[in-house]
Amino acid sequence: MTFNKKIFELNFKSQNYSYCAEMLRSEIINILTEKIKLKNPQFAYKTVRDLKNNATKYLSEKDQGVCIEFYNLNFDELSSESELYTLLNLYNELILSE
Amino acid sequence: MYKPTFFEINLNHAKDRVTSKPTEAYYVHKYLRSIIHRLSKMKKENPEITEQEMKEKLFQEIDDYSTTVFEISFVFSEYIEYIANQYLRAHPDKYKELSEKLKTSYNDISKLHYSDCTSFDEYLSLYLYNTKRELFNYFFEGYMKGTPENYVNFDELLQENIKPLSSFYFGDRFSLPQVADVLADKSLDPSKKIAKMKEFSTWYKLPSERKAFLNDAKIFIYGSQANLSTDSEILENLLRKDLARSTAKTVQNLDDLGELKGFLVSEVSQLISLGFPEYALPLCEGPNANLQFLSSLKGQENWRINKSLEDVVSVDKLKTLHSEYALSSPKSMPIESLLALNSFWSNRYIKSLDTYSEGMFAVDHFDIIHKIIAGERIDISKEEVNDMLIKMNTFYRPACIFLEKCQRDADADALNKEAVDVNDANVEEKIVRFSYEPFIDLMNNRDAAEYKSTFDKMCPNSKNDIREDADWYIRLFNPIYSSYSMKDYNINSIIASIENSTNNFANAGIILDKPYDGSPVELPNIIGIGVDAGLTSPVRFHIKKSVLIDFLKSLNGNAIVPIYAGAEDFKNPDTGKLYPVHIVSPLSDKHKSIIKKASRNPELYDNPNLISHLGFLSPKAPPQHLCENDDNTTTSKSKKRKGNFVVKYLDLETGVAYTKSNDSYDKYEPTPIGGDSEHDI
Repeated sequence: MTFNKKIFELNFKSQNYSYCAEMLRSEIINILTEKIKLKNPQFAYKTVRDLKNNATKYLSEKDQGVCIEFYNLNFDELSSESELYTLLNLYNELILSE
Repeated sequence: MYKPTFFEINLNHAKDRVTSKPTEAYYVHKYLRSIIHRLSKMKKENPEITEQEMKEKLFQEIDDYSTTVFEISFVFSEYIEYIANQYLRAHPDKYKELSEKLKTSYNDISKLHYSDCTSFDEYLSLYLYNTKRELFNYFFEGYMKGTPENYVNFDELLQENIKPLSSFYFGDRFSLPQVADVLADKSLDPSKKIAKMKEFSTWYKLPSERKAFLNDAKIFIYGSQANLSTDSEILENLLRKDLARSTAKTVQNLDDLGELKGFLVSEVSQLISLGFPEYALPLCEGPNANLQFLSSLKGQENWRINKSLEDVVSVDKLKTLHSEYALSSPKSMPIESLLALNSFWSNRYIKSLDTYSEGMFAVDHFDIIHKIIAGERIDISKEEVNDMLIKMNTFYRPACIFLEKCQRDADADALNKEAVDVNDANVEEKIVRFSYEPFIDLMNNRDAAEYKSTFDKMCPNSKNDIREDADWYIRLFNPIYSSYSMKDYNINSIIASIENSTNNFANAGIILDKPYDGSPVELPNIIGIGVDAGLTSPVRFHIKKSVLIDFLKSLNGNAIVPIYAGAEDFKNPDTGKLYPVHIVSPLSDKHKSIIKKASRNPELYDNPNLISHLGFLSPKAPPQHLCENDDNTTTSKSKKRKGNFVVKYLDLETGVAYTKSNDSYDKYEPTPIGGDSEHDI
C-alpha cells in the first residue's frame, strides 16, 4: 500500500494530528512487515508485540531499534503532537534506510 | 556521501525525543528539589556517610524499585495460565481438540513463550503443552525419557504402560505398588476404580497425603484432563500470592517515592466536592476524621482543602488495606479484582518511576552526591536539565536493543531449564538478572571520544564519563523498558479476562464518550477501558484503538468488545470529562457498610447515579438506572420498575453495537433506560 502523502499533508494542515499519526502508524507497520517478509515470507502482521518479536529475529540492528521504539510508543502516553513528531522521525529513519 | 556515526545518529535521535516531550525538563527540574532534600536528610542523619556509600544506597534503592516492575511483569504468564485453565475446564471438547492438534504442532509450540502467542488458541495450546510436559516429568520420572513427542502423547503412553508405570509410580511415591492391579483392570469402570482408590487412600493418616494419592490416581484413571481442577487450585494460590506481594510492594514503593499522600489528599478532596465525604472516612484518622469536618471543607479553595487534609488522610490505613497478608487471603476478593487492583497501582507506579529515573540520572550528571557530602550549594537551571535529558537519551536506542536481546536470551534459557517449583514464592528465582557490563563496554568502546567532546561543550559542569553515565542509565532504564511490555501484558490480561470468562467483573468494557444512540460510534485514537471490579472505584486505563483492535482480532477473530455501562455517572457535568481516579482500594468493612447505606437512598446525594454505581459490586446486583425495561416485568405505583442489566458490545471497526446471546451477536437498538422515576436521567 503506498502512503498517500497528499492526504497526510491535507490532514496535517488541518491539524488532524491523530489522523496523521494513524496513517504513519499503519505505514510503519507495512514497511517493517515487508522487511521481515524478505527473511520470513510466512510472516503476517498480527500485533505490535509480534511485530517486535519478529523484527528482533530477522532485521538489522538499526531497524530493530526503530521497531522497538515504535512498540514502546504504542504504550506511551504522549500528546498527539508529540506522538506524531516521534512517528515522523521513525518513518523517516525507515525510508532512509531502504 | 557522509555516513553519520552511531553517536551522531543517537544524538540526533535524543534531541528529537526531548523535543517531543517539551514539559519534561520542567517536571524533572521540580522533582530534583525533593531528591536533593532527601539526600541532604540522608547526610544529616549520617554525617560520616561517604560518596561511595551514598551511591551504593541509591543503587540498592534503584534495584529495589526495579524489582517491583519485574515482579509485575512475570504475573502475566501466570494469569494467562489461569485463564487458559478456566477456559479448558469449561470447554472439555476444546481440550480434546487441542490435544490432538498438539501431536502434530508440538515442535512449534514447544519453542514459544506466552509473550510470543498471537491468538487465544495459541495460549491454550501452550498451556496444554506445558501441563502435559509437567505431568510427564512428574509421573514418568525414572521410567521413561521426556521428549516433546512424549509430552504431547502423555495420555496414550500412560494407558499403554499403565500396569508397569503405576506399579513403579505408586510403589515409589506411596509404597503401594498393588494399586496397579486395579488401575490396569479393564473390567472395572472408572467409578469403581475411584471407589477402590478411596479405600486404598484410607491407609494414609494425613488428609493431604490422601488427597495427593487420590489426585494422582485420577490422572491414571481419567487422563491428563483430570489435572485441570488440581492445577486450578495451584494456579489460583500462586497467582494470588504473587499479585498480593506485587501490589503491596508497589503501594509501599509509591509511599517511599513520596507519592501516596498526594493521591490520598486528591481522592478525599474529590469525594468532598462530589458530596460523598463519608466514603473517605475509612482512609482518614485523627480528631478531624469525621463527617462534620470533611463536609465543612466543601466549597473552600482547593489549596485550603488540600492543606486541611494533609493531617487527616491516613497513608497507614491505605497500606493496611493493601498489605500482602490482607490481599493474599482468598476471602479478600476474586483473583480478577486483584488483577485489576494490581493494574491500577502498577500504572501509577510506572509514571512515578519515569520521573524518578530522570531525577536519579541528574544525581549522577550534576554530581549531586559529591556536592551534598561537601556541603556545596546546588543550583541547577531548567536549561541544564534539558541538556541533561538530551545526554541521557543518547543511550535510549542502544539500551533498548541491548535489553531486548538480554530478555530474549533469558527467555531462550528458561525454555531449557526446569520449571521453578510452583509453590515457591521466592521472587529472586523468577527474576532474570544479567550483567550490564556488556552495555557499558559497548558504549565506551564505540562512543567515548565523541560523547566526551560533545557533552563537555554542552554540559561543561558535568564529568561526562561515558562508563559512569551508561552504568547509571542502564540501571534506571531497565525497569522503564520492562514497563512497556508490562502495560501491554496488563491490558491484554484484563481484556482476555473480560472476553473469556463470565461474571468476573460486575461491569467492564470500553468507555464511550456518550451513551449509544443507535448511530455508529466514531471512536478516538485512544480508548478508555473501565472495570468495576468490586473495589472502591472503577479501574480505568487507556489503550490505542489500533492496538486494541489488533489484539482482539488475534485473540477472537473479531474486534468486538463489551461496552462499560454507566460511564456518564462519573462525568463532571461542567466539563463533560470523567472525574479522575486518584486511589483504587480494596473495600474495607466500613466502606461496604457506607456504600450499602448510601445505595439504598441515592436520591439524597448530589450525584445519585454515581452513588448507585459505586455500589455496583456484583454482576448480580446492578443499579437500576443501568438496567433496561423488560416487557415482561410488572410495574405498579407501589413497586419500583425492575429491568435487566444487558451487556452491550461494540465492534471497534464499524462502531455498531450488539447484544450477545448464545455466542452470537444481535444488532442492538437502544431502548429507554429503567430506574426510579424520581431520578431518571
